[in-house]
Amino acid sequence: MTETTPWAATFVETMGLLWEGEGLPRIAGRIFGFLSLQTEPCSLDDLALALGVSKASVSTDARRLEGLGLIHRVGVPADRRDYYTVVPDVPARMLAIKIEQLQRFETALAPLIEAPELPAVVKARIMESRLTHKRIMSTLRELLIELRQGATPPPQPATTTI
Amino acid sequence: MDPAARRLVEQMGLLTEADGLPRIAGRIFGYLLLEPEERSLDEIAESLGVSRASVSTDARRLTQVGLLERRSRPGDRRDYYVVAPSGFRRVIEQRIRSMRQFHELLIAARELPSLSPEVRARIAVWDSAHEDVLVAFTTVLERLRSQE
Repeated sequence: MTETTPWAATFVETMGLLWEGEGLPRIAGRIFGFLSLQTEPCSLDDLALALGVSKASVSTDARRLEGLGLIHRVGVPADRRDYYTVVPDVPARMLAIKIEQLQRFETALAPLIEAPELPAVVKARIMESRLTHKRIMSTLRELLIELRQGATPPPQPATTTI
Repeated sequence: MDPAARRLVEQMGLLTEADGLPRIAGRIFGYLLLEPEERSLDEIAESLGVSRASVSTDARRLTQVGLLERRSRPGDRRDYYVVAPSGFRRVIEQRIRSMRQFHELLIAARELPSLSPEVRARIAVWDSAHEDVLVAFTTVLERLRSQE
């Protein structure tokens, strides 16, 4: 595990605040920020120690990050603990998350267009927001394709060689 | 609330929960999305069957991200909320602001002499991709603004 310099600590804290601004737990941002700066996978114990929080808290948010596809678990032979690293294609994954969020929202709104009892003002509002979402999604999808095509093969994570 | 509205409210709650926000935030947003006019915290709390305190916290949070607008009425001390006109544009503006901060953070990271080459390369790749995403969001925002 890389030693935590004052600068790295600032990076980790800033990442936590940024995530909090997006409505996600600060600790998830700190875990992601910390792992971003590591060359080797970290165990939950490493993370808890480095971030000064309980293992239980790190465990919950590491799973959340894993669910979002931003970090993944790697096994280390002869060690039963879970180790985590950032995924190789973080930017594409982050963009895909945004698109998925927009898509789910748009899908939820779709049935309302047919609801006859809705006031006209509400209907207009919903139609406008669906249109906005569709426009944003189409722009972002084009970009996602470009990102994935342009992605250079990621360097082999160090974990596979341990 | 009619059954279709009820369904949407619950669905919004599940969506925000999946995105890491409290379920109640999505339910408040879903409820107000279907209300033609502003509603007080008490009205929201009663319709959703939750406490006023809980509604108050999450209505503030939604206001911060730009999805709701807080209103007041003369001679009435209560807070009223309504979905923000151009709420999604504001959400995108907010997103662009936080993306810029992220970009600045990555720039600062790249300048750091103590960084290992592997991490430096990783951050350079992220930052370049991130810039493309930022450009895309900015383009969308400009288009939305020009349509308003």
